[in-house]
Amino acid sequence: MFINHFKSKLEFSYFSTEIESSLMRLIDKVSDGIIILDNNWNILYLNQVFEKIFDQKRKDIIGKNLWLLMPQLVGKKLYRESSIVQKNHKKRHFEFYSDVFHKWFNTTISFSKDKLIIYLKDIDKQKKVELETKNYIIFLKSIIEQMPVGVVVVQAPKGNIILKNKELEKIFRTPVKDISRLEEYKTWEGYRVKNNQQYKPNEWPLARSLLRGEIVKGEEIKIIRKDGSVSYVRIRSSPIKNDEGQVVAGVAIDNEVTEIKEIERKKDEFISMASHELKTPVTTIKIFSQILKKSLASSDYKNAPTYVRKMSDQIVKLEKLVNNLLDVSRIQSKDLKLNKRYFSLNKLVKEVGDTIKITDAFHKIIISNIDKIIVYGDKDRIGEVLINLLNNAIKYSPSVPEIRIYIQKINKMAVVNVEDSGIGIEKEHQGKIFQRLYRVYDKKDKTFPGLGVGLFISFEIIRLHKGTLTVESEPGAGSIFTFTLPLIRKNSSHIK
Amino acid sequence: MKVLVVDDDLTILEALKIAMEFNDYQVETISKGEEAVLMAQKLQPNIILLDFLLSGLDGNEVTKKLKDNPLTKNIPIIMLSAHPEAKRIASKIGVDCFLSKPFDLDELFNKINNLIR
Repeated sequence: MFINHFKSKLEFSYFSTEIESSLMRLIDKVSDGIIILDNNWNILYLNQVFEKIFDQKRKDIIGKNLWLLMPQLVGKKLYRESSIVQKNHKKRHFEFYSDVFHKWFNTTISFSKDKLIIYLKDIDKQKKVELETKNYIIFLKSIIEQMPVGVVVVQAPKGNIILKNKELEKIFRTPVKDISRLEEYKTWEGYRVKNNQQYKPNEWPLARSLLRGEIVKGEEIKIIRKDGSVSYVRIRSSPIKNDEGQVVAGVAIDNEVTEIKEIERKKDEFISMASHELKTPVTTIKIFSQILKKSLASSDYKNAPTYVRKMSDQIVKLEKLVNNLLDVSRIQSKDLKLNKRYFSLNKLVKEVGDTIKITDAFHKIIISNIDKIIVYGDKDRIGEVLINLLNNAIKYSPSVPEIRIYIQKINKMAVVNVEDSGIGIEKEHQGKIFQRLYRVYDKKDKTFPGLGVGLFISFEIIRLHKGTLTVESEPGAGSIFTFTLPLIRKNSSHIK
Repeated sequence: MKVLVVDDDLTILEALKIAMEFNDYQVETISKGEEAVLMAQKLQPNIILLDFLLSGLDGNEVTKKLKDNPLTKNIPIIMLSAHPEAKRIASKIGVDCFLSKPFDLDELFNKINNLIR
């Protein structure tokens, strides 16, 4: 019945019955859906796949109006596209996602002899893989973009960039298009850190990976950027091969190590300087101990007390240096402990001022304390900060005798200023003098005056008290160091 | 016997002066490189003990100036330093002997005797 009905409508009369029926069987078995409609949207034929899509028996739906049968399709993509083809008789081809069947389809709608033929190919699996791949690439790109190292992937053989991230441009400080081909590498100035040899264009790691398939496991390169600045970069690179083993691309990972190099250099310098500083008092002690030994051996006791006193002065100096080094290490490991109690800040300032007066006759320390201030903190450590600030003030104002200290209460804080009229500090150094390994170098004065950790330790002591230590300075006019300590109320009978 | 001691650390200068005088040397001490060059010409010491790190002209530059000047080029120089790089540099610039701080006084006197003999 079905075949007869189909035959009369489609007018395949020129086919022999045998061919006709095998053709129908074939259409029926194809893996894609085929449905044929008349001018009034009535279903003339549908194959097995469509039966499954509609989830209805063929015999029940042949002759019925497609949109009445599937009202949920009305107004949707398939409906709209079919209507267009029915009007203009032009074939349409498109991909769409059906939210009725929850699948992706590749569709062709054509018009032939008053009949509309809808060809529906289920591409759900491929489409999902394709979308997944697309997402995957998006993920990959955003991961590469987030990486703290420069990444670049280039195509063989010319080295055109196919993938790169912002960090790469940050390292090179130039748009990456300028390095997008191997031949452009000649415009780059780079040296092997190992032997200071300059790279030729085809010697850069990525060029070697691309041209010779070499895997570069990490080469340190000193790059002179186009703006003249120097950057140290550790580059790893590797070829990317296809199934036949041919190099099709190359990838390079650029890790900027300029900062690490700088820290290493500062550490080396600190160790060298610390050992120099420690050896100086040891040298003096050694000389005096040997003279002392000789004078005692020859029963010359006259100068012995002098030698012993000089040795003990140097031992005190050595002890201070060792304590400073220990403090730096305690601060680094967050192990600097405070022994807090209530004490009079103005009394402490006076005590420290008096101690310094004994050792330095030239400088005059003038204390202006408007308020008597009780603070809660480590008296010895705050005393160290004061000694350090006063010693610096003395050291850096060799020709101006006056050093002033002000103590005030401002906004629930105790504020102490140590003011000198000495050589001052250049603007570029002011923000950095509280850092651990920061030293101000005078080009004329190449010696190391002390360990250079005093301000770092002072800064940390004040910070641990929840106060601040800051500096204002004018080169040639002097410096004002200011530290603050929070005021905590307490009955005055507890004060020591 | 005259010796010129150059060091920017005043305690070391003092200690060396006492040690040298203890052994009957006539000692002149200087803490600045420029002054050391002038003093060497004027004093014509038998030997110079020179620190490497100095403010102003450093030990390296002082050595060059002394060795370039016909008036001072024959005065032997012993460089004394705690600086780790100093020994390597000293060997390049023509100092006659290097002692690393802290040094042994007997060793210093031995070196001096060898150089002025």
